[in-house]
Amino acid sequence: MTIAPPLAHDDTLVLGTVVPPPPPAPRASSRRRVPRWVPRDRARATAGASVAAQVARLLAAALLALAAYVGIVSDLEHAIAQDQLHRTLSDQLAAGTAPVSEGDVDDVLLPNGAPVAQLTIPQIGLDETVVEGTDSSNLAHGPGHRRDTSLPGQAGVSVVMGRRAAFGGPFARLEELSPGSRFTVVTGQGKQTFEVIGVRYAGDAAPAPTKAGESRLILETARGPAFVPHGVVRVDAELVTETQPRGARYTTFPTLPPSDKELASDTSRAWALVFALQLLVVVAVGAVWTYRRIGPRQAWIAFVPAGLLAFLVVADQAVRLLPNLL
Amino acid sequence: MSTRPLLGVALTALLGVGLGTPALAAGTPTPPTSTTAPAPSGTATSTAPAPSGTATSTAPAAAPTDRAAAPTPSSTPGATHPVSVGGVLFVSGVRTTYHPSWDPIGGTLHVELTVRNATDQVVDASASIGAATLLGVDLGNADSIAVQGLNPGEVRTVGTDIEGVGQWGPLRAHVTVAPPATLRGVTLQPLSRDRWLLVPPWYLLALVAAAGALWWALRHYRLVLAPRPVGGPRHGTGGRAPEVVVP
Repeated sequence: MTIAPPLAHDDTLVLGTVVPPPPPAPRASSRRRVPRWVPRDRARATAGASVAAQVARLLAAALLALAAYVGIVSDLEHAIAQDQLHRTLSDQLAAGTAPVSEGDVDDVLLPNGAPVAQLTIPQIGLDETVVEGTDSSNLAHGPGHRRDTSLPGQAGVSVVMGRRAAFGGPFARLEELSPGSRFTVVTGQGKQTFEVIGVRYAGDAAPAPTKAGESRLILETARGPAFVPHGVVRVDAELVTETQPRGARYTTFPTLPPSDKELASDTSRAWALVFALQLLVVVAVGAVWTYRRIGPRQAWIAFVPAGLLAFLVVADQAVRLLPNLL
Repeated sequence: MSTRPLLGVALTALLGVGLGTPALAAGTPTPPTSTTAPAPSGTATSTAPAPSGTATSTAPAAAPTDRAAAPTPSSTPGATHPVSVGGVLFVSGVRTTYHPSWDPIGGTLHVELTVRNATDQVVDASASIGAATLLGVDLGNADSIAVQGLNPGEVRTVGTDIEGVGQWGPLRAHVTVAPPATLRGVTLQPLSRDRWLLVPPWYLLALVAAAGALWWALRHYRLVLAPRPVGGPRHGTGGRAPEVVVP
C-alpha cells in the first residue's frame, strides 16, 4: 500500500515507493533574471546598476592597463628603440655619414626619428641617442632634437627635449645637474663638451643671447610630479670646446609643427586610434562569441594573445595624444 | 567572458607601476654633492630646522622673461667671460634624499641645491628650504640659511635635513634662494625651485592589506563553517533537499 501524503513543493516524501517529482515549472525567460516579486521599476534599476557596474569595471580595467603600458611597456619600447638607434648612429659615425644638417649625406631631408647625436651625462646616468624631431612619437624613442635649431656643438642655440617619466624617462633627473657640470654630445662633427650654466623655470632670467660663433645647448623636459606635468624645466649649457660650423636648416620656428613644441600632443594620427579601437572591439566580440559557442578554453587560448596585441596597438596610439614631455 | 582575470592582470600591472613610480618620481638616490670650481666656502648645511617662514625678497621682477626656447643665434655683443652671462645667481634643481625610519611619522629628508655666482662681485644671499605634503601641509622649514661671501664664479651647495618627515606619499621639497635686493642698481628677485618625491606610506598599505586579508578570511570561513539548518539543503545539491525513501 502506498501512501502519498499531500506534500507540496519539490520535497517528495512517500512511504514505500518513490514518486517522481513533479515536472519543474517552466523557467522564466533568460532575459528576465530578476525574481517575479521584484517590482518592475526596481527591476529596471537593478538591471541598470548591473550594466553600470560592468561598464565601470571595463573602464577601470582599461585605465589600469593603460597605466601599465605607460609605466612598464613603454620603457621596453624605448629600450628597444634606443638599441637600434645606437647601432645605426655608430655605423654612420664609423662611415662618416652621420648628419650634420637637416639633410642626410645625400641632401635628402632627414625623416623624423633619424639618429643625429649621442648624449652622455654621467652625473645623472644618461646615455641616449638623440633623434630628429620632438613630437610625441619621436620622443618615445629617445630625446629629440628640435628641427629648427642647430645641432649640438654648432654655432647658435640647439634645443633637445626629453621625456620625464614615460618611455624610460631619460630626462627624469635632469634638474639634478649643477652649474658647472660637464657632459658630452657626439655628433657627425665630433665630440662636443658642454658646461651647465643653470636650471631655469619659466619666468626666470635667461642667459644672455649667444654671440656669433658661440654655441649653447638647452635641454628641456616636464616639470612637476611624474606623469603630472605642469610646466617646463630647462637646463642651459654652453659649449666649452671648439664651435662647429652650422649646417643648413630648412625648418624655421614659424614652420615648426605645433606637435613639436613643448608639452604638445600629436593629434595627427587620431585616425589610427579609431582603427585600433575598432580592432579591439572586433577582438572582444570574437572572444565572446567563441566563449559561448565553442568553449571557454578555446576562447582563452585564441583571444588572450589577440586581445593583448589589439590593446597594445590601442595604447600605442592613445599615448600619442598625451604631452610629448610626459 | 569573465573580467576577473583581466582585473587581476590589471591590478598586478598597477602594483608594478606603483613600485616603479618612486624610482621615476623621486630620484632620491642622489650622489653626495661636491663643490666644484673655486670653492673657498664649502657646503653650507644646516641640520636644525628653523621655525617656519619663507624668506622672500621684496624686489620687483625686472628680469627678462623666458625666451631662450626660440633659437637666437644672434651676434649680441657681450663679454666672453663665463660670469658675464645674464643673471646674477644660477642654480640647479632641487636634489632630495629620504632616509626612512621605523616611526611612521619619522624619517629625514635631505634637501639641497647648488648655487653659482655669475657676477664679478662677491654676493651674499640666503636660502629657505622646506617640504610639504600633497595638500600643502608644511613638514618642516629651514629659513634664512646664509650663503655668505659667494665669490665670482663660485659654485656652492646649500642643503639641510628636515626631520620628522612622515610617510605621507607624495611630498614637495622646495627651495627659495634670495639674492641681494639690488646689485649695481638692478633689482633682483628670488629664485624658487621644487621637486616632487614619493615616500610610500608602508604602514598604511600594510594596514589596508591586513584589513583586506581579515575581511577575506571572515567571508571565507563564514561560508564554510556556518551552521546549516537541520534538514536544510546541503552544499552541492543545487538547493534541493534529498529525497527520503521509507520502505
